Amino acid sequence: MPAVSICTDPFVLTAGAMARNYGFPGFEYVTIPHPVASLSTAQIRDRVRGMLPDLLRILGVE
Amino acid sequence: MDPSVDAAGIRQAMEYYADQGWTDGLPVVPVTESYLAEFLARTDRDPADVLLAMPHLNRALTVRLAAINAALAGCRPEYFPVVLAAWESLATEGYPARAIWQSTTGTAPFLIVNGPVRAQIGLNSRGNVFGSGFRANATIGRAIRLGVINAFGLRPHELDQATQGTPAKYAACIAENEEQSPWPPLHAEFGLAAADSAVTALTIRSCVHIEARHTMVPEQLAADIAGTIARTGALVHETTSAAVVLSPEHARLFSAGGWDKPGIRQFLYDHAVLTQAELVAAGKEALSSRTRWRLPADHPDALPYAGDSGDSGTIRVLNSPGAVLVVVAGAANAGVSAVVETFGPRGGPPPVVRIPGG
Repeated sequence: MPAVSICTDPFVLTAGAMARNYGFPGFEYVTIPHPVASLSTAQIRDRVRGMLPDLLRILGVE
Repeated sequence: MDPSVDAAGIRQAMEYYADQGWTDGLPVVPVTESYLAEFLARTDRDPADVLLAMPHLNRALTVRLAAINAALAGCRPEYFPVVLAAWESLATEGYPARAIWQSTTGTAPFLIVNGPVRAQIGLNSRGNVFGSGFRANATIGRAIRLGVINAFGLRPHELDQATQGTPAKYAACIAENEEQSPWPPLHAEFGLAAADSAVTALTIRSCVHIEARHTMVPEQLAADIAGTIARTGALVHETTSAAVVLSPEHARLFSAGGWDKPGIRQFLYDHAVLTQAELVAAGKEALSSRTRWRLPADHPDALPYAGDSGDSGTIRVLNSPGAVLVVVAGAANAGVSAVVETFGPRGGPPPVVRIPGG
């Protein structure tokens, strides 16, 4: 199943390290601003809307 | 030192190791095959045996890697059976294999050593037990940290995502002060003979100081300790867990009142409580439907409030008396103890691992 990883900005270094560890140094994923845990439902929806173009691009949706 | 000996070669090796990132920030001891063999000679186990695996990282720590990192850490070869038992205990405890060492929480492995091995290798169980000054404590604890860094690659800012971490991430290894304890030691409480030697590893978040020189009443001292266990800052999940490290003076106070370790655990289970108002004030009165982490009742993920679990409208922060361990350590010189805030066990037995030949 096609999938896209999403992480917030502070985890970019770790995401890169995990990708290198699995042998995919150029693995592409979506980054969004931090934090997420304290957002309201409306703010979460905004985050999702904001990242959708990136998600679709990485999935290869034309 | 003989002035004709030039230490430049040693410094060069130490700098090389530091440049490779094979360190916690402090200098490490250079390791050669002949020195490694002295460590491996201390165990019957195959150097290729896996002690702890992290499948999500495709990495595993073998006996050989444990020995290399023990040597790097400054252990003497005779410490190695303790290091091996510590790794086995960490594997049995379960949290490390589930990636807890990569968590933003920033936990550290904490080792409690029991039995005759303490005296044999000079482990400190008395004054300054959480502090510095004792090679066996310092380097056995550090052997685990260096294994975490070098075998699993859990370096800060990379795969170790700790927000702040804890000073215990350099080294955290104590011995129980069995000689000045009125009760059976930890390993005997969980099925081993007192004459055995053992290591018990716990995943800890912090080590909180208890200053209680004011009372000779066991209930007051126990209530003081319960208040620290119940602090809201530690309560991320529905319940918490702890290892209470009592100084010999506090242990004697309890013992003189007829209390034993199970009695203290039961009292702490009953009295480590918060009121609903205290939880509401901290925004931790409800549980997440997904994670069962604590959050405010008006959070979209919040489950309906489940009700009181303790006496008179209070909420217990421990799920059972087994969520608290009690050990005795430190000098017999003051009413000072500590609550070591752990991740589990929450009712199950702690991972007490016997040291072969110990």
